[in-house]
Amino acid sequence: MRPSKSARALTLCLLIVIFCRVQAPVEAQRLDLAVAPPNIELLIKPGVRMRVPFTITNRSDEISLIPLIKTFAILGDGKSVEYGSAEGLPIKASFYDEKSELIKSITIKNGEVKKIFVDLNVPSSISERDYSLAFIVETQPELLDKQYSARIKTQIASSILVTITKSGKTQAKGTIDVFKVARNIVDSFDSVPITLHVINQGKNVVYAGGAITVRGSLGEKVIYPLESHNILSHSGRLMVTKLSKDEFSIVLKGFFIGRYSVSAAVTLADDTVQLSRSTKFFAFPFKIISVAILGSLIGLILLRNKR
Amino acid sequence: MRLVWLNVFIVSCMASSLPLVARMDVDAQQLQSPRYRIESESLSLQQDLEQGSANYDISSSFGPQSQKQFESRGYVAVSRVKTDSSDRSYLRLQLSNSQLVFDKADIVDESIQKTSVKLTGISATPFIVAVRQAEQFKNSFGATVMSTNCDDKSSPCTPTLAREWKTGFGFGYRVDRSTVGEFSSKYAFRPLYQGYSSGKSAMIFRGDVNKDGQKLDLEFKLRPQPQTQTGIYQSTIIITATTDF
Repeated sequence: MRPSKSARALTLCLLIVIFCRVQAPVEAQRLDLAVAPPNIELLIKPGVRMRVPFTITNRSDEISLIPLIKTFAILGDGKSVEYGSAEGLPIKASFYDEKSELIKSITIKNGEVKKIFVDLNVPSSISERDYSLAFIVETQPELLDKQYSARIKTQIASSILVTITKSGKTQAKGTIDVFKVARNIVDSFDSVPITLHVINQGKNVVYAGGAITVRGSLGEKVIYPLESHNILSHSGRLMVTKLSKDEFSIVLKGFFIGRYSVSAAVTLADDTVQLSRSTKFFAFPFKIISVAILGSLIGLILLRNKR
Repeated sequence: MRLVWLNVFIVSCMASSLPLVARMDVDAQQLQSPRYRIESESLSLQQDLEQGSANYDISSSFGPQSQKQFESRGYVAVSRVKTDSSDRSYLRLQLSNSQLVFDKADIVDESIQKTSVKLTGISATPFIVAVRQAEQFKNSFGATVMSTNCDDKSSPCTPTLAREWKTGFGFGYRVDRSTVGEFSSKYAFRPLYQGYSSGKSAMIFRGDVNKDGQKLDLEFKLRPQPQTQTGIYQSTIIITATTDF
């Protein structure tokens, strides 16, 4: 007995439904989230409470997110980041939705844009310095009952730099701790890598800029502007130019001959503090000289043999 | 023969004249022609000033009205990330796959699972992407799958240093298009830092991201040790994307 047309149609519909149900969790694995603003700098007086709005946009399936505040630091090796617990922090954070209701999590549908307000409560007794924080929203994917499975929690974070000051004045204090040419004597055709590293010794973030100037013995002079970057309190930063490569601030290329003086002029906090340091290198055409001498010697030997 | 001697003479002259050329800079300062006078003035600025300190007003970094706002409200706020024409700035993160199932993992066969992260921002915003593992793969009895040390026991891989991993056991990852780390070889892997509520994460990207975005392809590899107990092993990996300060 052959199944009727309606039975076949019903089976097909069932298969489509089953297929869609099977596909659904796979779709749910995709994630597309945005946070705005991606960073914010705050200058707050002790004893003040302020509210910072953040916008979360979800372009993936409906998702549940947990808001968090963490301390944020880039570690000395430059390869690691530390997101620390904010429990011991004097600044206390709480999260509110658009109806000003205290929230511990938020659900956002596909295509929805929602606001999360972060209330920062700064106590009067807090010490005047910078606090590096991160406002994080964290996804909560399910754990699967498979033999070996891992879920990926995604944290999208907006960095918050809080400067606590009573007067509105902040401190710019820095030093050039490294300014050196990789080798002081180079071949004329070699590239010349230069390192410029600046340390912020103050208790507040500073913006550093300036230039590296190279002067040749024949009077030529080239200025390489430094890209402006901030340096967090009690941390250091490699200053970079458009010719930076790897761990070097600048890699000079071309033909060099004679003595070159290289000077670094670094400005902190819009020229409030000016730092400078200089070094030098010598370039000689060692390779050409070596080839010429070798060529002459070979020529001499050949001529002697000919005679 | 004359040509050879001429060649030797020219090279000798070049070599002996180099120190003279090098010294010309100093002589030039003393000549004080218009060109070198400038150099001389510049040199006076070159008195090395390696350290400096000053207190400065917030208006220099937060704008001219900031001091007034600060006095009246008790705070000022600014976002330094450039905005687009609609005056909106954002950090957008897309993850292709948030569930990894290592269904072929056993002693003989390693199991590899992939996911990709795409970051989008506005006007070359500096971002950091970091990764860590909340805890090791663990079953309900507490048995674990350890992180990989890679193949060379005398020089093992670490959470910030990738090494070749072809034969050893454990769990690790590699990244294509990473700006941090040593993932040049397709066999270069690193273990993950561990910790959930707080702790270190290893950077896998640090650099500028614009409207076109930056895509990172992550490859996670699992090969359990031969003595691993049977059971359901689960783990949580945390990927964090944030703006660089």
